[in-house]
Amino acid sequence: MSKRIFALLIALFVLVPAGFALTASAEESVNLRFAYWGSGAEKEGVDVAITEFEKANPNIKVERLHIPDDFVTKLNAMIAANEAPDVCYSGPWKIQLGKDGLIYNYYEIAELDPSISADDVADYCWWKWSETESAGPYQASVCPSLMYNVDLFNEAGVELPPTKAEDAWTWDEFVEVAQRLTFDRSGRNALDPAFDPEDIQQYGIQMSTGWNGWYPFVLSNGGKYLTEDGTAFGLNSPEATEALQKVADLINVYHVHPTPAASSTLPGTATALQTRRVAISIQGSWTHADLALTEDFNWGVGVLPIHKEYKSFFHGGSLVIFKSTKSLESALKLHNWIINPANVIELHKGLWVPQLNSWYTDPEKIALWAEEGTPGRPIGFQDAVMKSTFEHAEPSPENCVVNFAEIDALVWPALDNVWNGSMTAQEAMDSIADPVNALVAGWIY
Amino acid sequence: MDRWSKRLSIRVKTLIVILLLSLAPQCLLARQFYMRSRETLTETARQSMYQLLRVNNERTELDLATLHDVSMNILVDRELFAVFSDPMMSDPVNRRETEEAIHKILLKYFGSLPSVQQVEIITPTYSYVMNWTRLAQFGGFFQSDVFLDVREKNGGIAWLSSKAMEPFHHQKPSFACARLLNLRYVDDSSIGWWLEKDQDAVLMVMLGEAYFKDRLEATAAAVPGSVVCMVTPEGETLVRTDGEALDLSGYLPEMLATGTGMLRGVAADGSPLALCYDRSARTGWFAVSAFSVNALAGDLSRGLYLNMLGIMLVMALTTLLATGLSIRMLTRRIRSVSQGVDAVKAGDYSARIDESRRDEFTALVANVNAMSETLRRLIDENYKARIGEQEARLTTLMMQFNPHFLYNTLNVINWSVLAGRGKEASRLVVTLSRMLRYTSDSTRPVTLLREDMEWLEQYLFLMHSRFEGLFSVEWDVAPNCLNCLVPKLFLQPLLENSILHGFGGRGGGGGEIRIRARLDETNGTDLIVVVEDNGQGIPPDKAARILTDKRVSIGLYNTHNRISLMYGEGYGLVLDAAPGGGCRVTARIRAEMPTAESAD
Repeated sequence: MSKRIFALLIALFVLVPAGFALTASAEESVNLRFAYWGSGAEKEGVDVAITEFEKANPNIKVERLHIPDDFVTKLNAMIAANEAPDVCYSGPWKIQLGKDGLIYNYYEIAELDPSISADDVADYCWWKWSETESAGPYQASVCPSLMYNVDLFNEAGVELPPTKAEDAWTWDEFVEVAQRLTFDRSGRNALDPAFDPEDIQQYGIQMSTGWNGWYPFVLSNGGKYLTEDGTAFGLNSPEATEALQKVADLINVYHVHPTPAASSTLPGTATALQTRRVAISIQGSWTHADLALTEDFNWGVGVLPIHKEYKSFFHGGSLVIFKSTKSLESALKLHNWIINPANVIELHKGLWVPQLNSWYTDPEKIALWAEEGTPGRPIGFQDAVMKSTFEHAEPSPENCVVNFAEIDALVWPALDNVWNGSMTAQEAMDSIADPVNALVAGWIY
Repeated sequence: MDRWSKRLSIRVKTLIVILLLSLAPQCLLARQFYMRSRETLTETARQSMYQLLRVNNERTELDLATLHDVSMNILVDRELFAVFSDPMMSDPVNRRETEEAIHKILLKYFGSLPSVQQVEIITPTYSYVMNWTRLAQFGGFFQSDVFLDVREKNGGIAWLSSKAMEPFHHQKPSFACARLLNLRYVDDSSIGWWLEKDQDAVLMVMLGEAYFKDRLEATAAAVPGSVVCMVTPEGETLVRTDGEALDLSGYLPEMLATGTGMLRGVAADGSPLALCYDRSARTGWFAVSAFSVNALAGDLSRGLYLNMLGIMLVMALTTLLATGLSIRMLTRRIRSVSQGVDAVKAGDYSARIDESRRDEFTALVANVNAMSETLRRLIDENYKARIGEQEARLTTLMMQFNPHFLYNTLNVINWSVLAGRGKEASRLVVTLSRMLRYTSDSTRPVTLLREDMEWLEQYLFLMHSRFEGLFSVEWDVAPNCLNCLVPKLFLQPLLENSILHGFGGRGGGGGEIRIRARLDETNGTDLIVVVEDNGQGIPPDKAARILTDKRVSIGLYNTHNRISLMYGEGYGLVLDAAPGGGCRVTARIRAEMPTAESAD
C-alpha cells in the first residue's frame, strides 16, 4: 500500500512540473509597443482600454509611447532606427506607409483575430490605399451633426428641428429657421427689415468650414468631390458649386452665419450654443462630448437640411500595424481590442460613434452607446444622428479620393474667398481646377 | 578522579557542575550571536550595495536612453539627409565642405553629451568625425564582425564592448554604440522616405571610461574594499574601479539566468566574497560589485569578541554568585541541624533544633528533635533512674556497712559490756542485730513508713546510748501516713545531720528533734516529713550549697538525689532554718500506698 502511494507521489512530482513547463512554454510573454497622441478623456479612455487588454491577456505587455507633439517626426525616427512600434495611431500619411510596404494590409491578416469581423465594419469605414489594400477599419467614427439650443427655439417660437431624415428641412426652410433665430443687439431677427447685420448678437447657424461641414450638402445636391469616373475635379460642377454658394450665402446674403472674422471671436461650439451666441451648429459629432459636460443646458440634435436627397458620411482615423512587428497575432489582438466599441464604451457615449454595423442594428448594443436621455445623447439622437447617418452614408472624401490631402490643400484656401464673398463658389473652384486636376488620380474605392 | 571527587566538598562540586552546565550553552549562544551578527552585517552591506548598484544602473539606463534617442533622432535630421543625398557628396573634391557640414551636425547632436570621446560617420571611402583629433582608424571596418552586427540591426542600436572596438581604436574606449545610417526625410505633413544610398554608412559613437566610472566609484565607496565593474555577458570587463581584478567567469551562468541579484562567491585567496549584480536592459551588460566578507567583518570580529567575552564573564560571575548563595543557604541549614545533633551528642539531651522554619529540612529537624526527646526520656527515666537506683543501693549499702556507725555502736556496746551493763549490752546487740537485718535487706528500696519509723526508733535508741541526754525526739505522725511507702532509711541522714551537726558543738543537752509526718493538704498526693531541731543550724552559705554540693553533707545530698530520682522533680529535700534557730529539713515524697504486690 505504501509502495503504491510512494509511486504515485513520484509520478506526481515528475508529471506536475513537466506539465507546468509545457503549459508555460505554450504561452510565451510578448512585448508590444503602442504609440499614440491625444489628451484628456480620449487618452484616458484608450489607456483604460489597454490596461484591460493586458489583464485579459496576461502574457502580453504593452509599452505605451504617448507622443503628443511631432508624432510624425518621432515615428519617422523610430522607423529609421528600425524601432517602429507594433501598433500606432496614424494620419493620412498611412497611405504612403502602405504604399512603401511598411504596414500590413488589414484584409490579409484579419482572420488571425476573429474578435472583429471585417464584414461587420460599416461600408466605407476603412482607410485604404488601393481597392484591395487597407491599413485597417476606423478606430471609431464621427459624423456631421446638427446641434441646437432648445431654449432659443422655444423662446423664438420656432418648431424644433426634425429628427427623422424623411422630415428633413429643405434648404430654404432651413434658411428661414436660421433667420428667425438670428438676432441683432436690438432684438430684431434677420427677417426684420430693420435688422442690422453689422451688429449681430445671436447667429442662427454656425457650421464647420472644412469639408466635413459643407460636403454633405454638396452630396445632397448631387455633387461629388471628383467626377463620377474619378478622372477630374468634381467640386467645380454646377451641383457642387450651387451647394457651396448656398453655404456662403448664409454668411453674406442672409447674415445668419458668422463671417470668418466674426467666427474667430466666437468661442468653441458647445460654449457658443450654451451662451446663446449660436442657435444651431453643424459640426463634427465629437462635440456631443463637450455638450455632455455642460450643466443646465437644454440641447438637442436634428437631421441635416437637404437640397435633393439626404446625404451624410462617417469619417475617422485608424490604427496601423507595422510589418516589423515580431508578434503579429498579439499586435492584431491589441489593434482589434482598441477599436472595439465595447472596450472604449465611455468614449462612444459622446465623443465617438461606432464603426461596426452590429452596433447600429443590435438593440442591446445600441443601448450601450446611444441611450437617449443620457448626457451625451439627447432625446431624438438615435433618429437624428445614428439612423440618419447610418442609413444614408457615403464614403468620406478623405478616404476615397486619391491624393485627397494634397487636393484639399488647394481647395480650402480657395473656399476662403467664397466665404468672405470675394469670389463666387464657381469662380473659386474653377480657379483651382487645373492644379487639382494635376493631382487627381481617381477614387481609391 | 574518584579520589578527587570524594575529597571535594559538595559546595565545590556543585559549583563546578553548574559552571560547566551553564557555560556550555553560553558558549554556544555566544558563537551563534557572533555568526548571526556577521551574517546580518554582511547581508546589510550586500543589500545596500545591491540597492545602490540598482539605483546607479537605473541612472545609467537613463543616460543610455539619451544616447539611444539622440542617435535615433539624427537619422531624420534634414541637414544630414541633404548632405548624403547630394550626389557630389563623396567626391573628394568636396571633402572639406562635406566634412565641415557633418562635423557641425554631429556636434549639434552629441556635442553636449558627457564622456563622448568621438563620434564618426564611417563610409567605405571616408570617415567623418565630430572631434578633429582622430582616435580611431576604421580600415577594414566593413569586413569586420562589428559591421555585420550593425548591419543586421538595420538601423537599430548596437552596443559594442571595448574588445570589439580593439581593432580600430588607438586608446581603448570603454564602449561604443553604433547604428546603420538609414536616413529618412520627414517634412511636416508627409511620412517621409528613405534615402536612396549607394553605399553603407555607419554612425559610431565612442565613449570613455568616465561614462560609467563615476557611478561605479560612488557605488564602490559605500563598502570599503569593494570593487565595482561593468562586464559583458561574455565576461569581458569594460571598466573597473581600483582594486583587484575579478574573475567572474564562474558566476556568469547564474547572472545570465537571473539578470539581477546577489551571490556568494569565493575570492582568489579562498575567502568568502559577496557579489551583487544588475543587468542593463538596453545593453545587456552587467554592473557587478564585490567585496570581501572577511574584510568587512574584520572590525566587527574584534568588537564582537570583546563584547562576547565580557558578557560571558559577567554571566560566569553571576552564576558563581548565585550558586554560592544558594549553597550557603543549604549548608547553613545543614549546619544548624548538625549543631543540634552535636549538642545532644555532648550530653545536653534537652537541646532542640529550631523548628520555626518550614523548608525541606523541617521533617529532618522534627525527627532529630523527636529522637533527642526519646533519648532524653530514655536516659532520664531508665538510665538515670537505674543509676539512681544503683546509687541508692550503693548508699544503702554504704549505710549498711557504714564503718563509723558500726564502730561507734560497737564501742558503746563495748563500754556497756565493760561497764558490766550486760543487759544493756544485750539490748544494744539485739537492736543492732535487728537494725542490721533491716538494712541488709536490700530487695525492697521502699518500705512502709511505719517500718522505717521502727528502725529509726532503734537507731535513736542506739544514738541515745551514745549521746546520753544530748537530745530528745518527738514524733508527730499522722495516722494516715503510717502506711505510706517511703524510701528505705531516707530519714536517717536527716537525723544524723541534726544529731551530729546540729547538736554537735553543744554538749550539755536540751536538744530537741521533732519529726512530723503528714499528707500535704493542698494536693493530697505528697507526703511531707519535717525533721526540725533546735541545734545550731546550718550557716546560710552551706545551706545554699547543701543539696547541690556533695562535700557539704553527703548524706543530705544523696538523700535529696535519691528522692528526686525516685519521684521526679519537685520532690526531695528542702533546707531552711527552724523557727527557734536550728535546722529544719523538709522531705517531700509522693504518698504511695502499697498495692497487693508491694505489701509485705
